[in-house]
Amino acid sequence: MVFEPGRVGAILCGMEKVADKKVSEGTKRQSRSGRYVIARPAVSSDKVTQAQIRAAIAKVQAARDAAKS
Amino acid sequence: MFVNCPFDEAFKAAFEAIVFTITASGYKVRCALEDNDSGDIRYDKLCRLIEASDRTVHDLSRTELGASGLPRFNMPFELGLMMGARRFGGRRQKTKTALIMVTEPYKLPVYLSDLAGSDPVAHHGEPREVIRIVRRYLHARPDGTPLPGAARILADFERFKAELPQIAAALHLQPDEIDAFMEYRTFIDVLAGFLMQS
Repeated sequence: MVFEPGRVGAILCGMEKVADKKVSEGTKRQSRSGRYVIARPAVSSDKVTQAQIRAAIAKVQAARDAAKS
Repeated sequence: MFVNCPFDEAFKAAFEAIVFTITASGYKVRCALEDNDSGDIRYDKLCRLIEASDRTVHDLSRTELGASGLPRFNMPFELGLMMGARRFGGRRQKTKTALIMVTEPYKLPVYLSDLAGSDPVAHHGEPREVIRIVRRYLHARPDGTPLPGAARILADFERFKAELPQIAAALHLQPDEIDAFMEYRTFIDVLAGFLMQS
């Protein structure tokens, strides 16, 4: 085992944990087209869930696409 | 990114444009509407939001008298809070940046001469101008990658506005239950969902 004083210091200071959290947090999500990279909003609705929002938007966009064709 | 602007009907379209552009650019919007805790002291909430935001956008165009016949001082006050944080705060606070917007150019020094030389940007009350200005200010995503062009963001914003009533109906919500001011939390959640599907 290799002794890494820098890493030990980082762990002791809690820095490595913070870095890991940033990577695994998954706060950035790429949009379907890849055009946007979206951060999770600071607040969320208390009326509807993300799954309901996704379903509603998909329904509206499907109706729009059907109207086009 | 902290948003400091009038929360009134006349400014709603511009507010929606600001929030849309910030979210589409990969930043988190922070504003006084996000917290509906009545026990939270408003000044403390503003300090917390400004402290957490590295970038800030301020609209100082509301110079008219309100319905009460009195002017609104909230926007200049919150800009002053941000400038105080930048001036007297720690290392991170000193790196804050601000975008100052007005409706008409060259008028700001008349009503806020202490800000003379700060170079505010005029949007003429047009959401499309707001999108261009905010996008130009942000310039890139938080990770440094380029943003879509203003025309692309504007086209998606107009589609969002057009589809919002249908999205509300599909969610079994009345239009006021998805309103940017009245129901900010639902609005911002739906906006993020819309952009994810775009």
